[in-house]
Amino acid sequence: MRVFLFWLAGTILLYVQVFSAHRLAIFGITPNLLLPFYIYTGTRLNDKPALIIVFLISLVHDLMTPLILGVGVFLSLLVTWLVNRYHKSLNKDRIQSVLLAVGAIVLLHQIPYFLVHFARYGHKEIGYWLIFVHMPVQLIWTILIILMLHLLSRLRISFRGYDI
Amino acid sequence: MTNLRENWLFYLLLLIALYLFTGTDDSRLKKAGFLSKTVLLPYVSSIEHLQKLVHAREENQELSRQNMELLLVNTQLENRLRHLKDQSKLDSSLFAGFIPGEVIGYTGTLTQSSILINRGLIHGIQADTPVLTPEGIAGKIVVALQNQSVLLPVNHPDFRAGVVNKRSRVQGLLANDGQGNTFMEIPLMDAGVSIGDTIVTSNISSVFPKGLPVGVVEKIVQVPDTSSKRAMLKLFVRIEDMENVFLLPGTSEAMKSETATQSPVTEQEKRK
Repeated sequence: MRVFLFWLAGTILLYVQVFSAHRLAIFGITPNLLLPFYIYTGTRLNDKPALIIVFLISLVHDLMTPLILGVGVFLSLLVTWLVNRYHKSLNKDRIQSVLLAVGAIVLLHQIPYFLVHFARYGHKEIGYWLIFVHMPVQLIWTILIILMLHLLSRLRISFRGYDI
Repeated sequence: MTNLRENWLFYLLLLIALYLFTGTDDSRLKKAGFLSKTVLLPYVSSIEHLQKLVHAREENQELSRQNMELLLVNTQLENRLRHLKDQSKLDSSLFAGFIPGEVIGYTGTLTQSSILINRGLIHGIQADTPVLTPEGIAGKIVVALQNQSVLLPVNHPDFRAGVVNKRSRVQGLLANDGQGNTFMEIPLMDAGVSIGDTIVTSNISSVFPKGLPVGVVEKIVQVPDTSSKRAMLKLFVRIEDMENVFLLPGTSEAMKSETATQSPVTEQEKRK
Protein backbone atom coordinates (compact mmCIF):
# COMPACT_ATOMS: atom_id res chain seq x y z
CA MET A 1 0.00 0.00 0.00
CA ARG A 2 2.85 2.35 0.89
CA VAL A 3 4.51 1.77 -2.48
CA PHE A 4 1.19 2.37 -4.25
CA LEU A 5 0.74 5.67 -2.39
CA PHE A 6 4.22 6.80 -3.47
CA TRP A 7 3.47 5.84 -7.07
CA LEU A 8 0.19 7.78 -6.86
CA ALA A 9 1.92 10.84 -5.37
CA GLY A 10 4.58 10.66 -8.09
CA THR A 11 1.94 10.45 -10.81
CA ILE A 12 0.06 13.45 -9.41
CA LEU A 13 3.31 15.45 -9.20
CA LEU A 14 4.14 14.41 -12.77
CA TYR A 15 0.78 15.77 -13.96
CA VAL A 16 1.36 18.99 -12.03
CA GLN A 17 4.89 19.26 -13.49
CA VAL A 18 3.73 18.81 -17.09
CA PHE A 19 0.51 20.79 -17.03
CA SER A 20 0.87 23.46 -14.35
CA ALA A 21 4.52 23.92 -13.32
CA HIS A 22 5.04 26.69 -15.89
CA ARG A 23 2.47 28.76 -13.98
CA LEU A 24 4.79 28.67 -10.93
CA ALA A 25 7.72 30.04 -12.94
CA ILE A 26 9.79 32.78 -11.26
CA PHE A 27 12.12 34.84 -13.53
CA GLY A 28 11.08 32.45 -16.31
CA ILE A 29 12.40 29.44 -14.36
CA THR A 30 10.01 26.52 -14.28
CA PRO A 31 10.61 24.55 -11.07
CA ASN A 32 11.34 20.84 -11.23
CA LEU A 33 8.72 19.50 -8.80
CA LEU A 34 9.77 15.90 -9.32
CA LEU A 35 13.27 16.29 -7.89
CA PRO A 36 12.01 16.70 -4.28
CA PHE A 37 9.78 13.67 -4.85
CA TYR A 38 12.81 11.59 -5.88
CA ILE A 39 14.69 12.72 -2.76
CA TYR A 40 11.73 12.02 -0.48
CA THR A 41 11.10 8.60 -2.04
CA GLY A 42 14.76 7.74 -1.50
CA THR A 43 14.45 8.47 2.21
CA ARG A 44 11.13 6.71 2.80
CA LEU A 45 11.10 3.54 0.69
CA ASN A 46 13.45 0.59 0.36
CA ASP A 47 15.90 0.82 -2.52
CA LYS A 48 14.14 -1.49 -5.01
CA PRO A 49 10.56 -0.09 -4.89
CA ALA A 50 12.01 3.47 -4.72
CA LEU A 51 14.17 2.90 -7.81
CA ILE A 52 11.32 1.32 -9.79
CA ILE A 53 8.89 4.18 -9.00
CA VAL A 54 11.51 6.84 -9.77
CA PHE A 55 12.47 5.07 -12.99
CA LEU A 56 8.87 4.96 -14.19
CA ILE A 57 8.01 8.58 -13.29
CA SER A 58 11.27 10.04 -14.61
CA LEU A 59 10.96 8.02 -17.83
CA VAL A 60 7.50 9.44 -18.53
CA HIS A 61 8.85 12.93 -17.75
CA ASP A 62 11.84 12.38 -20.03
CA LEU A 63 9.57 11.39 -22.91
CA MET A 64 8.43 15.01 -23.00
CA THR A 65 11.96 16.08 -24.03
CA PRO A 66 12.78 13.28 -26.47
CA LEU A 67 15.99 14.84 -27.80
CA ILE A 68 17.74 14.26 -24.46
CA LEU A 69 15.88 11.08 -23.56
CA GLY A 70 17.50 9.12 -20.74
CA VAL A 71 19.44 11.94 -19.06
CA GLY A 72 16.68 12.74 -16.56
CA VAL A 73 16.17 9.04 -15.81
CA PHE A 74 19.89 8.51 -15.23
CA LEU A 75 20.25 11.48 -12.85
CA SER A 76 17.01 10.74 -10.99
CA LEU A 77 18.07 7.14 -10.36
CA LEU A 78 21.46 8.34 -9.18
CA VAL A 79 19.91 10.87 -6.79
CA THR A 80 17.43 8.34 -5.37
CA TRP A 81 20.08 5.67 -4.91
CA LEU A 82 22.52 8.05 -3.17
CA VAL A 83 19.80 9.42 -0.87
CA ASN A 84 18.55 5.92 -0.07
CA ARG A 85 22.06 4.73 0.72
CA TYR A 86 23.43 7.64 2.73
CA HIS A 87 20.52 9.54 4.29
CA LYS A 88 20.68 7.57 7.55
CA SER A 89 24.13 8.93 8.30
CA LEU A 90 22.82 12.53 8.10
CA ASN A 91 21.91 14.32 11.34
CA LYS A 92 18.36 15.44 10.44
CA ASP A 93 17.93 17.43 13.68
CA ARG A 94 20.38 20.03 12.38
CA ILE A 95 18.69 22.21 9.79
CA GLN A 96 22.06 23.33 8.35
CA SER A 97 23.12 19.81 7.51
CA VAL A 98 19.75 19.02 5.91
CA LEU A 99 19.90 22.22 3.82
CA LEU A 100 23.48 21.46 2.76
CA ALA A 101 22.59 17.91 1.76
CA VAL A 102 19.53 18.99 -0.24
CA GLY A 103 21.58 21.75 -1.89
CA ALA A 104 24.24 19.25 -2.90
CA ILE A 105 21.60 16.92 -4.36
CA VAL A 106 20.03 19.79 -6.34
CA LEU A 107 23.45 20.67 -7.75
CA LEU A 108 24.19 17.03 -8.54
CA HIS A 109 20.94 16.68 -10.45
CA GLN A 110 20.64 20.05 -12.17
CA ILE A 111 24.21 20.84 -13.27
CA PRO A 112 24.76 17.66 -15.34
CA TYR A 113 21.22 17.99 -16.70
CA PHE A 114 21.87 21.51 -17.97
CA LEU A 115 25.37 20.62 -19.17
CA VAL A 116 23.71 18.10 -21.49
CA HIS A 117 21.27 20.83 -22.50
CA PHE A 118 24.18 23.14 -23.32
CA ALA A 119 26.02 20.40 -25.18
CA ARG A 120 22.88 19.64 -27.18
CA TYR A 121 21.84 23.24 -27.88
CA GLY A 122 25.22 25.02 -27.60
CA HIS A 123 24.15 28.04 -25.53
CA LYS A 124 26.84 28.62 -22.91
CA GLU A 125 25.87 32.23 -22.21
CA ILE A 126 23.07 31.26 -19.82
CA GLY A 127 25.47 29.40 -17.50
CA TYR A 128 25.77 32.27 -15.01
CA TRP A 129 22.01 32.67 -14.96
CA LEU A 130 21.74 28.98 -14.18
CA ILE A 131 24.18 29.07 -11.26
CA PHE A 132 23.08 32.30 -9.60
CA VAL A 133 19.33 32.31 -10.19
CA HIS A 134 18.10 28.91 -11.24
CA MET A 135 19.84 26.92 -8.50
CA PRO A 136 18.61 29.03 -5.53
CA VAL A 137 15.05 29.07 -6.90
CA GLN A 138 15.12 25.31 -7.46
CA LEU A 139 16.59 24.76 -3.98
CA ILE A 140 13.75 26.73 -2.35
CA TRP A 141 11.12 24.79 -4.31
CA THR A 142 12.79 21.49 -3.42
CA ILE A 143 12.80 22.24 0.31
CA LEU A 144 9.20 23.47 0.25
CA ILE A 145 7.91 20.36 -1.51
CA ILE A 146 9.89 17.99 0.70
CA LEU A 147 8.33 19.73 3.71
CA MET A 148 4.89 19.43 2.12
CA LEU A 149 5.37 15.72 1.42
CA HIS A 150 6.65 15.22 4.96
CA LEU A 151 3.56 16.90 6.42
CA LEU A 152 1.25 14.92 4.14
CA SER A 153 2.87 11.67 5.25
CA ARG A 154 1.84 12.44 8.84
CA LEU A 155 -1.84 12.53 7.92
CA ARG A 156 -3.77 9.43 8.93
CA ILE A 157 -6.14 8.27 6.19
CA SER A 158 -8.72 5.60 7.01
CA PHE A 159 -10.60 3.52 4.45
CA ARG A 160 -13.34 1.12 5.67
CA GLY A 161 -11.83 1.03 9.11
CA TYR A 162 -8.27 0.42 7.92
CA ASP A 163 -5.50 2.97 8.27
CA ILE A 164 -3.74 3.59 4.98
CA MET B 1 30.80 -8.71 -6.17
CA THR B 2 28.52 -8.39 -3.10
CA ASN B 3 27.94 -4.76 -4.02
CA LEU B 4 26.88 -5.82 -7.52
CA ARG B 5 24.45 -8.40 -6.13
CA GLU B 6 22.90 -5.92 -3.69
CA ASN B 7 22.50 -3.15 -6.25
CA TRP B 8 21.76 -5.13 -9.42
CA LEU B 9 18.47 -3.31 -9.99
CA PHE B 10 20.14 0.10 -9.73
CA TYR B 11 22.82 -0.86 -12.25
CA LEU B 12 20.25 -2.42 -14.59
CA LEU B 13 18.05 0.69 -14.59
CA LEU B 14 21.11 2.91 -15.09
CA LEU B 15 22.10 0.82 -18.11
CA ILE B 16 18.59 1.20 -19.55
CA ALA B 17 18.81 4.99 -19.04
CA LEU B 18 22.21 5.04 -20.79
CA TYR B 19 20.82 2.95 -23.64
CA LEU B 20 17.96 5.44 -24.07
CA PHE B 21 20.42 8.35 -24.25
CA THR B 22 22.88 6.75 -26.67
CA GLY B 23 22.55 7.17 -30.42
CA THR B 24 21.54 10.03 -32.68
CA ASP B 25 18.62 12.42 -32.26
CA ASP B 26 16.60 10.32 -34.69
CA SER B 27 17.14 7.14 -32.73
CA ARG B 28 16.17 8.91 -29.48
CA LEU B 29 13.03 10.22 -31.14
CA LYS B 30 12.20 6.70 -32.31
CA LYS B 31 12.73 5.29 -28.81
CA ALA B 32 10.59 8.06 -27.32
CA GLY B 33 7.88 7.44 -29.91
CA PHE B 34 7.83 3.73 -29.16
CA LEU B 35 7.75 4.22 -25.38
CA SER B 36 5.10 6.91 -25.56
CA LYS B 37 2.69 4.55 -27.28
CA THR B 38 2.99 2.21 -24.31
CA VAL B 39 3.92 4.31 -21.25
CA LEU B 40 2.87 7.89 -21.93
CA LEU B 41 -0.49 7.14 -23.51
CA PRO B 42 -2.55 6.37 -20.37
CA TYR B 43 -0.97 9.28 -18.46
CA VAL B 44 -1.55 12.00 -21.03
CA SER B 45 -4.93 10.75 -22.24
CA SER B 46 -6.37 10.76 -18.73
CA ILE B 47 -5.23 14.29 -17.91
CA GLU B 48 -6.38 15.53 -21.28
CA HIS B 49 -9.92 14.28 -20.65
CA LEU B 50 -9.96 15.85 -17.18
CA GLN B 51 -8.81 19.18 -18.54
CA LYS B 52 -11.43 19.08 -21.26
CA LEU B 53 -14.21 18.59 -18.72
CA VAL B 54 -13.01 21.41 -16.47
CA HIS B 55 -12.48 23.96 -19.23
CA ALA B 56 -15.30 22.95 -21.55
CA ARG B 57 -17.64 25.75 -20.48
CA GLU B 58 -15.01 28.51 -20.57
CA GLU B 59 -13.73 27.29 -23.92
CA ASN B 60 -17.22 27.22 -25.34
CA GLN B 61 -17.75 30.90 -24.47
CA GLU B 62 -14.32 31.84 -25.80
CA LEU B 63 -14.86 29.90 -29.03
CA SER B 64 -18.24 31.55 -29.57
CA ARG B 65 -16.58 34.95 -29.24
CA GLN B 66 -13.75 33.97 -31.59
CA ASN B 67 -16.27 32.54 -34.02
CA MET B 68 -18.09 35.84 -34.13
CA GLU B 69 -14.86 37.76 -34.72
CA LEU B 70 -13.82 35.37 -37.47
CA LEU B 71 -17.22 35.70 -39.11
CA LEU B 72 -16.75 39.46 -39.34
CA VAL B 73 -13.18 39.13 -40.63
CA ASN B 74 -14.29 36.47 -43.10
CA THR B 75 -16.97 38.75 -44.51
CA GLN B 76 -14.43 41.54 -44.95
CA LEU B 77 -11.96 39.20 -46.64
CA GLU B 78 -14.60 37.80 -48.96
CA ASN B 79 -15.41 41.32 -50.10
CA ARG B 80 -11.75 42.04 -50.74
CA LEU B 81 -11.22 38.74 -52.51
CA ARG B 82 -13.94 39.56 -55.00
CA HIS B 83 -11.90 42.60 -56.06
CA LEU B 84 -8.61 40.74 -56.21
CA LYS B 85 -9.88 37.59 -57.90
CA ASP B 86 -9.23 38.81 -61.42
CA GLN B 87 -5.74 40.07 -60.63
CA SER B 88 -4.12 37.07 -58.98
CA LYS B 89 -4.55 33.36 -58.47
CA LEU B 90 -4.48 31.93 -54.98
CA ASP B 91 -2.71 28.63 -54.46
CA SER B 92 -5.55 27.03 -52.54
CA SER B 93 -4.17 23.50 -52.86
CA LEU B 94 -1.72 24.16 -50.04
CA PHE B 95 -4.49 25.21 -47.69
CA ALA B 96 -6.70 22.18 -48.19
CA GLY B 97 -7.84 22.23 -44.58
CA PHE B 98 -6.73 22.71 -41.03
CA ILE B 99 -7.30 20.93 -37.74
CA PRO B 100 -7.90 22.93 -34.56
CA GLY B 101 -5.85 21.82 -31.58
CA GLU B 102 -5.16 22.83 -28.00
CA VAL B 103 -2.01 23.31 -25.99
CA ILE B 104 -2.09 20.70 -23.23
CA GLY B 105 1.35 21.03 -21.71
CA TYR B 106 4.80 22.56 -21.71
CA THR B 107 8.03 20.62 -21.38
CA GLY B 108 11.63 21.66 -20.93
CA THR B 109 13.01 24.69 -19.15
CA LEU B 110 14.13 28.27 -19.72
CA THR B 111 13.73 29.25 -23.37
CA GLN B 112 14.12 25.70 -24.64
CA SER B 113 10.69 24.38 -23.96
CA SER B 114 8.56 22.35 -26.32
CA ILE B 115 4.78 22.29 -26.32
CA LEU B 116 2.35 19.37 -26.25
CA ILE B 117 -0.64 19.57 -28.60
CA ASN B 118 -3.70 17.34 -28.23
CA ARG B 119 -3.65 16.17 -31.83
CA GLY B 120 -1.58 13.21 -33.07
CA LEU B 121 -1.22 10.40 -35.56
CA ILE B 122 -4.87 9.40 -35.31
CA HIS B 123 -5.81 12.92 -36.46
CA GLY B 124 -3.48 12.74 -39.47
CA ILE B 125 -0.68 14.78 -37.87
CA GLN B 126 2.89 13.90 -38.81
CA ALA B 127 6.35 15.36 -38.20
CA ASP B 128 6.92 18.70 -39.99
CA THR B 129 3.24 19.64 -39.87
CA PRO B 130 3.02 23.47 -39.71
CA VAL B 131 1.23 24.93 -36.68
CA LEU B 132 -0.43 28.34 -36.88
CA THR B 133 -2.58 30.72 -34.89
CA PRO B 134 -4.75 33.47 -36.38
CA GLU B 135 -1.80 35.85 -35.71
CA GLY B 136 0.88 33.88 -37.59
CA ILE B 137 3.13 30.82 -37.49
CA ALA B 138 3.57 29.16 -34.11
CA GLY B 139 6.04 26.38 -34.99
CA LYS B 140 6.16 22.90 -36.43
CA ILE B 141 5.52 19.39 -35.15
CA VAL B 142 8.69 17.42 -34.39
CA VAL B 143 7.22 14.27 -32.89
CA ALA B 144 3.74 12.96 -33.60
CA LEU B 145 2.51 10.48 -31.02
CA GLN B 146 -0.72 8.49 -31.05
CA ASN B 147 -3.11 11.21 -29.89
CA GLN B 148 -0.81 14.12 -29.14
CA SER B 149 2.25 15.69 -30.67
CA VAL B 150 5.27 17.76 -29.67
CA LEU B 151 5.44 21.26 -31.13
CA LEU B 152 8.80 22.95 -31.68
CA PRO B 153 7.79 26.59 -31.15
CA VAL B 154 9.02 29.38 -33.39
CA ASN B 155 11.13 30.82 -30.52
CA HIS B 156 12.94 27.52 -29.81
CA PRO B 157 16.75 27.54 -30.38
CA ASP B 158 16.42 24.61 -32.81
CA PHE B 159 13.76 26.25 -34.97
CA ARG B 160 14.75 27.37 -38.49
CA ALA B 161 12.65 28.61 -41.37
CA GLY B 162 13.13 30.50 -44.61
CA VAL B 163 11.59 33.98 -44.37
CA VAL B 164 11.31 37.06 -46.55
CA ASN B 165 10.79 40.77 -46.01
CA LYS B 166 7.27 41.49 -47.23
CA ARG B 167 8.21 44.99 -48.46
CA SER B 168 11.62 44.54 -50.12
CA ARG B 169 11.42 40.73 -50.76
CA VAL B 170 14.87 40.25 -49.15
CA GLN B 171 15.30 36.59 -48.19
CA GLY B 172 16.74 35.42 -44.86
CA LEU B 173 16.79 32.66 -42.30
CA LEU B 174 14.69 32.74 -39.15
CA ALA B 175 16.66 31.61 -36.07
CA ASN B 176 16.91 32.10 -32.30
CA ASP B 177 19.82 32.83 -29.98
CA GLY B 178 18.72 30.65 -27.05
CA GLN B 179 17.87 33.64 -24.84
CA GLY B 180 14.37 34.11 -26.17
CA ASN B 181 15.39 36.45 -29.03
CA THR B 182 14.16 35.59 -32.51
CA PHE B 183 15.88 37.13 -35.50
CA MET B 184 16.18 37.04 -39.26
CA GLU B 185 19.73 36.35 -40.40
CA ILE B 186 20.53 38.57 -43.37
CA PRO B 187 23.63 37.42 -45.26
CA LEU B 188 24.25 40.58 -47.31
CA MET B 189 25.79 43.78 -45.96
CA ASP B 190 23.41 46.18 -47.64
CA ALA B 191 20.11 44.37 -47.29
CA GLY B 192 16.82 46.20 -47.64
CA VAL B 193 15.44 45.54 -44.19
CA SER B 194 14.21 48.38 -42.00
CA ILE B 195 12.66 48.67 -38.56
CA GLY B 196 8.92 48.11 -38.76
CA ASP B 197 9.08 45.78 -41.79
CA THR B 198 6.82 42.75 -41.73
CA ILE B 199 8.53 39.36 -42.13
CA VAL B 200 6.63 36.44 -43.69
CA THR B 201 7.51 32.86 -44.63
CA SER B 202 9.27 32.49 -47.98
CA ASN B 203 8.95 30.04 -50.82
CA ILE B 204 12.30 28.50 -49.75
CA SER B 205 10.69 26.87 -46.72
CA SER B 206 9.80 23.21 -47.22
CA VAL B 207 7.45 23.18 -44.23
CA PHE B 208 5.43 26.41 -44.33
CA PRO B 209 3.43 27.78 -47.23
CA LYS B 210 4.81 31.14 -48.37
CA GLY B 211 3.36 34.41 -47.14
CA LEU B 212 2.39 33.42 -43.59
CA PRO B 213 3.08 36.24 -41.08
CA VAL B 214 6.01 35.71 -38.69
CA GLY B 215 6.81 39.02 -37.00
CA VAL B 216 7.87 42.61 -37.30
CA VAL B 217 11.45 43.99 -37.28
CA GLU B 218 12.20 45.71 -33.95
CA LYS B 219 15.88 46.52 -34.44
CA ILE B 220 18.83 45.61 -36.64
CA VAL B 221 22.17 44.56 -35.17
CA GLN B 222 25.53 43.81 -36.75
CA VAL B 223 26.92 40.31 -36.12
CA PRO B 224 30.48 40.76 -34.73
CA ASP B 225 33.37 39.82 -37.08
CA THR B 226 31.07 39.10 -40.04
CA SER B 227 29.44 41.07 -42.82
CA SER B 228 25.98 39.76 -41.95
CA LYS B 229 23.27 41.46 -39.93
CA ARG B 230 20.45 40.31 -37.73
CA ALA B 231 16.98 41.80 -37.84
CA MET B 232 15.61 41.23 -34.34
CA LEU B 233 11.92 40.34 -34.56
CA LYS B 234 8.88 40.79 -32.42
CA LEU B 235 6.83 37.67 -33.17
CA PHE B 236 3.15 38.07 -33.92
CA VAL B 237 2.35 34.93 -31.91
CA ARG B 238 2.85 35.07 -28.15
CA ILE B 239 4.03 31.49 -27.57
CA GLU B 240 3.73 31.65 -23.77
CA ASP B 241 0.03 32.67 -23.94
CA MET B 242 -0.93 30.29 -26.71
CA GLU B 243 -3.95 28.05 -26.00
CA ASN B 244 -5.60 27.20 -29.31
CA VAL B 245 -3.69 26.42 -32.49
CA PHE B 246 -4.41 25.23 -36.02
CA LEU B 247 -2.47 22.43 -37.68
CA LEU B 248 -2.10 22.07 -41.45
CA PRO B 249 -1.66 18.33 -42.07
CA GLY B 250 -0.35 17.31 -45.46
CA THR B 251 0.97 20.79 -46.26
CA SER B 252 4.67 19.92 -46.05
CA GLU B 253 4.17 16.80 -48.20
CA ALA B 254 2.26 18.85 -50.77
CA MET B 255 5.03 21.44 -50.80
CA LYS B 256 7.78 18.83 -51.10
CA SER B 257 6.02 17.12 -54.03
CA GLU B 258 5.43 20.52 -55.63
CA THR B 259 9.14 21.38 -55.22
CA ALA B 260 10.08 17.97 -56.70
CA THR B 261 7.93 18.56 -59.78
CA GLN B 262 9.30 22.07 -60.18
CA SER B 263 13.00 21.23 -59.76
CA PRO B 264 13.65 19.72 -63.28
CA VAL B 265 12.22 22.84 -64.89
CA THR B 266 14.49 25.00 -62.76
CA GLU B 267 17.53 22.96 -63.84
CA GLN B 268 16.57 23.31 -67.50
CA GLU B 269 16.21 27.01 -66.99
CA LYS B 270 19.64 27.15 -65.38
CA ARG B 271 21.19 25.32 -68.35
CA LYS B 272 19.61 27.80 -70.76
